[in-house]
Amino acid sequence: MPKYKGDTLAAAIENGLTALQLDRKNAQIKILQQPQPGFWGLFKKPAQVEIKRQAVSNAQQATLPEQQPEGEAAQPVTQRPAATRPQTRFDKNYAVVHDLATYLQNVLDQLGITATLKVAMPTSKYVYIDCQTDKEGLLIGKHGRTINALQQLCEFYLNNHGVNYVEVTVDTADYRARRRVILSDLVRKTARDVQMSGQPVHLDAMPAAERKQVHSEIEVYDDLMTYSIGNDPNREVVVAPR
Amino acid sequence: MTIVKPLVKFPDEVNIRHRESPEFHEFILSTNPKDVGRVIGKHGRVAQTVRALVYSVHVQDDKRVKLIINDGK
Repeated sequence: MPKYKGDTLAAAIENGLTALQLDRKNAQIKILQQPQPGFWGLFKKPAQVEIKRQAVSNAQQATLPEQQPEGEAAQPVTQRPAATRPQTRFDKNYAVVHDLATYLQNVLDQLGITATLKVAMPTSKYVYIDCQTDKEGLLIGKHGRTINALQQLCEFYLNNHGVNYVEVTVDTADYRARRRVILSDLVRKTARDVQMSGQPVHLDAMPAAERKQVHSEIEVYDDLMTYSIGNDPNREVVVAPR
Repeated sequence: MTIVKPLVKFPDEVNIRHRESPEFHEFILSTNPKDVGRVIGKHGRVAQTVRALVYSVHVQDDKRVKLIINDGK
């Protein structure tokens, strides 16, 4: 039986399905190994799944001995009870996320932006949507206003369709990655300014994910601290001396 | 409009009227009374983002766009 690996369970399943050209619905998926983060990059284990066509009987499958790559103790996999429930939840989320993509596509059309969407769901708690378009400026908006609004709208949509605590990222042409670089430059510069002047500095308002990045990057400075003030669209980080 | 419809319980009762005032294009959004809360959201979060999107649309003349959510009051 073929085995497939991936960094996450979802990625492993995705790998297997594309390799076999199967639909989720008529595939039978058995989790051989949950992904394990390991310890400082040692003893890391990828997720492993086994996939077969639904129609085939699976009588012997449950008793199949499991092979482990690094010879560590295998987690016993009980065929049905453990696997079924999270799988259905995952299936449901998967379906909603697909609806979300069509929804987002419609909204973008209304805004006059033609875009091709690529949706990825690396874990069950995180959705990443990449929009490929010529009008990225329009999609991002001034100070990223439009793209952030779209991202929030996607989260509302998911909440309204019974998918909770899922993080959505809407991206276009590496906008988020570019922002991350700009932000860490900004953080370094502000950190120096604050250290020199001893005065707290208010940064511009930014969305939650970006604020989080600032907080965690300032953490390495022993003599600085951060906090946020204001309410959400205008919530801003303050870098202050400790 | 496509933005709000999937967010409400009664999508058929969403409707939008357009009105022009000297300075604004006004869009008046009305829904089933039970859905008003859904469109506005906690602390106006949903309304805020919908507005951000609506305002991002570029209009040809000098007027600005305004979105009014009809809350039946």
